[in-house]
Amino acid sequence: MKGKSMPFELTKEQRDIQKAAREFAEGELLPEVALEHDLAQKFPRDIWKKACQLGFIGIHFPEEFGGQGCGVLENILVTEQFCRKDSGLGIALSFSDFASEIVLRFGDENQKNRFLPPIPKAKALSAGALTEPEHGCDPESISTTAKREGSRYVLDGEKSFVINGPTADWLVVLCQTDSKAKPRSGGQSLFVVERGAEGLKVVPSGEKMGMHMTGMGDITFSKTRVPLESRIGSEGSGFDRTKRFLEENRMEVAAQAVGIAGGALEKAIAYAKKRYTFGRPIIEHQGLQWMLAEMATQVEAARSFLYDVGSRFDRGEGKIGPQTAMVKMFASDVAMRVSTDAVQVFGGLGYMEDLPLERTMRDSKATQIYLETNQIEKMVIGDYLKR
Amino acid sequence: MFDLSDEQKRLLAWARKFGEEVIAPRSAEIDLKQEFPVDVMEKMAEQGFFRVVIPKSYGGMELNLTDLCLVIEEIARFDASMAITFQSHTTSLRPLLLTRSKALKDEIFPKVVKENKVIAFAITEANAGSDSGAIQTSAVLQDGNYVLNGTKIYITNGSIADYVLCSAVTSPDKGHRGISIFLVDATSKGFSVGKKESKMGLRASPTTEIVFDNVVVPASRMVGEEGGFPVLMKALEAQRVTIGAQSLGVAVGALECAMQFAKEKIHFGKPLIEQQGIQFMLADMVMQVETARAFIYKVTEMYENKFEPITAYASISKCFPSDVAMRVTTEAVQLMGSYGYMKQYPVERMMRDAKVAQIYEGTNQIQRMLIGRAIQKSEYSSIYSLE
Repeated sequence: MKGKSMPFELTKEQRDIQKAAREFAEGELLPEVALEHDLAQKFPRDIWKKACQLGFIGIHFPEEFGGQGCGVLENILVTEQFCRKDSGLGIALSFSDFASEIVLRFGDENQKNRFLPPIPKAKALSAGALTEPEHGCDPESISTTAKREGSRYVLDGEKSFVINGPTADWLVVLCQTDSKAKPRSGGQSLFVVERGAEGLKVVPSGEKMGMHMTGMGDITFSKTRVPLESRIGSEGSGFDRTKRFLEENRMEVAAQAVGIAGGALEKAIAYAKKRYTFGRPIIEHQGLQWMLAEMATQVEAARSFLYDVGSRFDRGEGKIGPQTAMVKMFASDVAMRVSTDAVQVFGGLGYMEDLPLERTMRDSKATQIYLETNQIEKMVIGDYLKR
Repeated sequence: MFDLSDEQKRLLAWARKFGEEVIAPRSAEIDLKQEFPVDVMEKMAEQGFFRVVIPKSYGGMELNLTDLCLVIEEIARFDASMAITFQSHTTSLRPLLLTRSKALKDEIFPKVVKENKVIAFAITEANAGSDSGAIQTSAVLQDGNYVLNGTKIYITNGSIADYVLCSAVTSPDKGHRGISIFLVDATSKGFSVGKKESKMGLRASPTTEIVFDNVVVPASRMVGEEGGFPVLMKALEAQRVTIGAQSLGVAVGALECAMQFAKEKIHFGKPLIEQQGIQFMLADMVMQVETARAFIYKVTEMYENKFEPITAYASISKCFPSDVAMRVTTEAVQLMGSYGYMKQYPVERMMRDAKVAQIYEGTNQIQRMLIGRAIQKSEYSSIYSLE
């Protein structure tokens, strides 16, 4: 058994998963397919189906719900390999089960049996409607309400920038069930709502800088009636559970970021070896070599940090919330810097759509923003430091 | 201390009015569609933007470098694509201004002033980017004319130019000294516009390949002396500051947008700007923008005063502001979160536009090389000169 202080090492099984994910990505996440989907702003359904068939999606679900019974770290390894090969396809695949972990970790048996199995089978996409147009990540002031009326809840309100909003078959929604609760976060509850529910309207959030293969929607609930059974956990538990979901999902975003940065770095190194200026490969120019050295160091540091936090989560170590915030912020900042520098190494060529570098840079920016902005991560870390 | 004269204020008011009334309403749309707005260009020409550097004796505005930079900065604040359109043309006019050939000036300047002719600057080739002396386009003297063969890439205004100022090898055995500059008529037989690039940014500015296939150019269209490329490049050195001015404009545009957003957006019950972390972010952005601005106009003043050797300063004036623009625009997107990432605000476009300035007109790695060499050759000192 490894103690906490032992150096981190992947098991043979984890390395096999990593290798399988890499092979799948190399074979399926092809640049021309990516470019086509990116320009058409289309979710990659065919690749998603294949990834599901091979067990990559929902790998962290127990086998009874169609998963592989793996931990968060295995999910991290898969996500990293997908994003390493292609940022846009990787993000879309990684988020295909977005917020399903809320049902997985906190749902009852009926909810799990009903909502989880379609996810790894490529029968459903999930979403989480947690952000609101006027309140962003501020949980104290959400205005979407769920009022109990007999055997139902009636949902009213708006959520914005919902990942998978336009494509999801079901989504988890954070609502205020008790408007008098103090703090307000103690009066919030989670519900799972299916596509087609009455009064549920989704419109795309608009044109984005990147992550074009992942839909984003603004959602309106207008007298949306849902049965009591759609409430996840007890009334008033929504905020706490959302927080715990965010902790888990920050690692997934960090995995996307590490993959994106690692992929951009590899492409930059390969190009630096074959591109000549002033009679020699550009990697022979020391200034460029040092730039690559800094990029590589950042990627290594982010990856080690992520694997460490992921394995601590899987070992059931509690209270790693601040570390998840740190790794999300750090890895996404690394992805932004490294992908920006990778474009720089490629020069004019890097700026063109012919190569995935410029898209990768645009996709990287999203990892610093979505789920929660890195400013919010700093607040989470700051609160922890104060304690 | 840099203080605007009344004349400069009038000049800025003129550019600002044009930016606000003609460019701003079109920016988002032309970026999204990757469409060069012919109507905007025609209005720019009518207003005189294409003749800003032409001598008054030819009917131009004869702006000095300082005033030119002010205009570029102001236009780039609205739209970098439109700034580069007249800026690149202006750079192409410089070698003509520097040449002693009155005949060439008498022929070309009136065409620019009266017929709104546009000139493109074509130096880069597939194997000669940073290394502009490694070009392969050839110009062979035949019966008093030069015959040009070769392909130039990443040419701004490539598809809309009436003339192309290009470099070509006239004496293959003389290295840099065997390269000359020509002004080629875009209607010449054998001249064609090749592939149009799809780019991360500057999407409303057409970037194309230009192909010379046995293009016959009269010897009178040689700009400067035979083998005059290095001399002209040296003379163009201080022009790098115009890229600095463009970058500065982009950074200012993003900063303005972020500052306004921070004041208006309510978060956690108060305007975003009341968060100290946000204030620090903005403070860092402002410091960088103000420093870049101060330096740019220091260098243009050095140029007006014919300071030599100006190499290091010219490189700094391109490298620093473009690095600033990249950081500031990236931070502006970050500050605005998901809103910043969407195309409803201009900051995401500005972030994409900013990247190119770190790459073109000599990558920032080349600028660092030049600064380094100046230090090595003791052509730069950080101590005040008392001479």
